[in-house]
Amino acid sequence: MLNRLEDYRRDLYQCGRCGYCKWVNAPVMKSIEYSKICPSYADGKFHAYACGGKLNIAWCLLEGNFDYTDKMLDAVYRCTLCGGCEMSCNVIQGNRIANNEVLHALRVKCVEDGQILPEHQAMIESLKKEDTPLVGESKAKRGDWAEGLGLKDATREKVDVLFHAGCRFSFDEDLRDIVRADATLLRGAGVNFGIAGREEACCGGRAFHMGFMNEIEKYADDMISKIKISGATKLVTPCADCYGNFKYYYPWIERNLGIQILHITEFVDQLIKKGKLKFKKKVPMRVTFHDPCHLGRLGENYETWNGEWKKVRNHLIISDPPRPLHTGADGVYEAPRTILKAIPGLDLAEMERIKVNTWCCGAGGGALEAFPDFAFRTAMERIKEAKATGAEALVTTCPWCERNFKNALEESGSKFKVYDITELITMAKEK
Amino acid sequence: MFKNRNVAQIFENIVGKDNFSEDPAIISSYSVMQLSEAFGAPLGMKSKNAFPHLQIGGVILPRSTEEVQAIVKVCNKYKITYKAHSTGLWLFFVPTREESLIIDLSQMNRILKIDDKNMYAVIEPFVTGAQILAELRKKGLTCHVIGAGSQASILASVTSFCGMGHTSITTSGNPRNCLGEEWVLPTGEVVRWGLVEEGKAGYPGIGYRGIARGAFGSAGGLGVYTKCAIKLYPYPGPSEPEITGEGSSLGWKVPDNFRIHLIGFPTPEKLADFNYKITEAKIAYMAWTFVTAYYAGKWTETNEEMYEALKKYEETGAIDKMKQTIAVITAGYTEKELKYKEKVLNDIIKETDAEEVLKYGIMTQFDLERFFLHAITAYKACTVFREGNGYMGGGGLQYLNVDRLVKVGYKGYNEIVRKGVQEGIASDYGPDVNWFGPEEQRPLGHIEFIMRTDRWDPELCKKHGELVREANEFCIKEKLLGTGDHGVFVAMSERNVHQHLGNYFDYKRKIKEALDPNDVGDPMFYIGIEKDLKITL
Repeated sequence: MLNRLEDYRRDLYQCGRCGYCKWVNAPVMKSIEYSKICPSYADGKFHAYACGGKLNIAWCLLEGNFDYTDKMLDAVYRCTLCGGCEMSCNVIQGNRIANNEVLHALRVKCVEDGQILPEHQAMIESLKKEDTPLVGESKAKRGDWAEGLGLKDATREKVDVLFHAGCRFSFDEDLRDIVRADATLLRGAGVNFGIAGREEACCGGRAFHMGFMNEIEKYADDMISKIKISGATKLVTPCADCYGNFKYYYPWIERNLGIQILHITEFVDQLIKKGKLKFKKKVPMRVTFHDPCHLGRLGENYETWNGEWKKVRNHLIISDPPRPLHTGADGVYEAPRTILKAIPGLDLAEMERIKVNTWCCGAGGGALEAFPDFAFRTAMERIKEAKATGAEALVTTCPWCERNFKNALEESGSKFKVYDITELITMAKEK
Repeated sequence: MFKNRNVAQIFENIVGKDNFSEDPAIISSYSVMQLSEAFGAPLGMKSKNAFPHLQIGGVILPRSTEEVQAIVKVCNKYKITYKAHSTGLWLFFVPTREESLIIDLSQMNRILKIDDKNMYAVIEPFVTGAQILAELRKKGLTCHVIGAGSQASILASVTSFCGMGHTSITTSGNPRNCLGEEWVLPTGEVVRWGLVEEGKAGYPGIGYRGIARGAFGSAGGLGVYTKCAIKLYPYPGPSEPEITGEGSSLGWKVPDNFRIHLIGFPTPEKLADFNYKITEAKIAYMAWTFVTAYYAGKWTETNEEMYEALKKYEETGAIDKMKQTIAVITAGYTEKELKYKEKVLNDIIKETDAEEVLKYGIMTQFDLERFFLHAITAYKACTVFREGNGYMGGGGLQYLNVDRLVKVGYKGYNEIVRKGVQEGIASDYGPDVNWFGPEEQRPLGHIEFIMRTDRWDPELCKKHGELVREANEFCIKEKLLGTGDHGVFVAMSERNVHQHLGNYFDYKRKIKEALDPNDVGDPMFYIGIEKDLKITL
């Protein structure tokens, strides 16, 4: 359960300013150039932008040392909540600091105290009216992506699998072919699945990351209700963001979807392993894979903790029951790689910052909407790293990553390509 | 915020609007660090916040030496105290005067040169140990990383501090690895000496290491260092680790040309003899004490796991085998070299009545890999924060004769900490709490004791501080160059150790007066121009 900020005083106090929250895990650090893990600190430069700095700000806020300032809100919100700091910190601090929980609790407090960015306010207004935080989109058009596919309506028919498209895939026309291809994959595999179409709503994650508790609770309950109505025993989603919200964040609000949750890459990986999907067509391309934060670091099942701290051996502080570690180890990393390695002719070259050490694309946490300049620079940093591998294209499997990378490439005038993994699957499938 | 608004505008003009801040939230992010209780509580400090009682002027982010100079000159003109820091791990980065300016050097973060033929590198302040090690390993080189860990600035320990690391037997300590500095003096002029001045007539010329550093580093009180040249050393291992494990539990498969030994001694005297012999033989690549408190934290991932490990060691009797235990890692470029070193080591083990303690089942193979990963990369140093609810160490003696260090200092520190355990001040991590290692393949060494307490409790912090003072007095009495409170370089220590260090403080003061006539370099951890410096923590 996500506690109030004041309940995290022990966590705040624990920070020793080691600075690990700024860096890739040292054992896998390959160069000085790609040694940073925190886009917020890389962009903001003051220590306030690093997780450790934000913990200090939170402490001083609770102590009443200052009141809210624009700069403080900038430090708090110019952050994608990518989880890199928690991964790095937990390597050193173990389970003594629940970094991600604290950062969210800080935002919840900001919102409760009325400190809301106008861009975020607009997203919340859109969510309330249109069930999506994508400003300017209409719920009436939510199911348009599936037009002509003849998919089952899971709000009316029983299905085995509920396919959740997510807001970005539902409304972003540039990405439409991807989600349609994903649905087609399921159909081709003979899966009995359906969609909520126009009745699908946001997972509520983005609102939560901006500090709004009520909205995520509402949408989680809606999700649970839709699952019940559909009778589905599995949920498959092509959106890494939604995936992470279901698995990692819903437990924070004590919501459990109660069924198996799969990202599309996990599903395709299963098809490949069972011999039900084979690629015969070569895709001669050198590519590199970007691990979306919400699929990897923030894609593991999150165990919340509400135990106690106690002392043993005089002052060795332990948790009872043991507080879980959150290092991202159980996220999804291999399924996309298995898929890429199965595509003939494809040459996969890895970047330096991969898997739990991935560099965020810059889109999450409400940062893309409120700080497009920051989102741009963060994406360009990743694109630079991708190009350094000699790859012709960056491949990923999250529509938010793709949108932000595409925006950045367009703005910079670069011809470098970004693909969703499904696009490569489509290229490689036998016609 | 600066009362003089002109000054604030001038600072902004120097670095640009985005690199200067007087915002209270931004400033507050610099104000809190974990050692503030450790050293502040005995002095009456009551809060986790290192300077709640001070109105700090602002924070500035210079990007070049020229900007640093300009900033320091402004500080001189308007009598503003400044305190510069790089990674800012320790208490010493904290400003201690009203309206101080925090100079955050994080934008000066480049490796300027790695000369693998002449084995030196030139770096800026914010280059961390992990970053430079990653680059050096590609060239078969390494540098000294102090016990604070590889996430800390290398330049900081080269110019402003001291301390041993895992490789000190090979790489000494950074006071001795300083081969040049670009030093912005407290007045704002710049001095360049040594290997930062390539191409200059008379290069590399005379050095100013003694004046710049003093015995222990200038700790932020004598200008700002914007570059340094550091000595590099051979590294016979692979450029990238073969990582084992996952998540936070990672190991490095021990390469074939390395051997790890954990050697236990019946008495500290035998440990001292051993140190003489291995340094004389020059066979070890790494060597440092391997005591319960140290290793139980280094390859466990949580305190719960550590607690279980300590219980197991007690139940099996292994904890007694871990007293006076030293880890020695040998490495060879050739099989013949390694074989020779191993033979000599085995002979020395016999001569000193020692034994290999791995045979007592203390560690699994994966534990050894986790240990080796930390040994090479020094990345897990800050688990002391996890283990001890913050690092609460004490002690700190460098380049002392290993004989007295071990026979007297080692025992003495253990007794002091044991007393702390019995009085309920310190956590019980076993009978041996020393972080000790030989240096430079000579019978010189460094020692600190690692004592953890609960820094959430101000009374405990105060008592911890009293024990540290006791350790300091012990060092003075035993003529072990007292730095029992981790800072003979802390100006307040002058009162404690003045008589022990002869006229060291007098000359230090003369240097401060000569180079910082306006007294704008924060003196608290260096020395004050006035003798009885008021402690403002």
